[in-house]
Amino acid sequence: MKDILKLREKHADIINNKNITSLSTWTEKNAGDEYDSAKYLKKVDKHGHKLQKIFLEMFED
Amino acid sequence: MTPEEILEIHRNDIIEYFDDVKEVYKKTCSVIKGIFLQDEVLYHCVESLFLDIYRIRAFHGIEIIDSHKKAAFTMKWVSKLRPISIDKNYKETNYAQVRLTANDYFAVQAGIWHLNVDFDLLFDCHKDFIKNLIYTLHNRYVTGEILSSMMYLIEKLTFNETKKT
Repeated sequence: MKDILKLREKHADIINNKNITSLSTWTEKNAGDEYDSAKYLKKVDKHGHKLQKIFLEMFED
Repeated sequence: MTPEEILEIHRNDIIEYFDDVKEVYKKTCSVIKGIFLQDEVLYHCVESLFLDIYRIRAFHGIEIIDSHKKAAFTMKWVSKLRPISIDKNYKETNYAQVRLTANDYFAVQAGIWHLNVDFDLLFDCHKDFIKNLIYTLHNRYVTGEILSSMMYLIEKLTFNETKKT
């Protein structure tokens, strides 16, 4: 029960923006999850054609 | 906070991500003839996914958003708002199905690169997963949360397979 109350408190703080250290976490570091534009586009360059090939294969008889 | 205030906080990230996703379109969709991208709709997709992510963080008490949610919500909004249109002046009737599913393909292209997976392994060994994902985005109603769960599982699956080899 204590945990639930704590969680509720945390939710209320977040909704009221009291406890969010950064409102925009899109690029914030999180063990490799942060958005990195160069890294994202590099993956497209390296592997995008493979995904394209799979898509086109869907319509081949 | 109002949606306008939320969007204002994220403005720089939204513009950067919009430019990147547009770049993905240029790099991966130019092979499909008879389609064009509507920038305004794509921008709306990016704004919508940032709003969705903000609301999810507030509701579930999430401090930092992870890669599979970024992937999932990108796929959700691109496949929902469909920023690619078919050029009515394009006369070729062959491969119509390719054009009709272009938005769902683009949704996967825009979202999947957020994942931390071995893409060689994913595309070589799990082609059916990718095909099914495009099919599902086109034919079924899926929420961002369900897609997020799918993305999480594919990350775990390929991670475990990489460890085995």
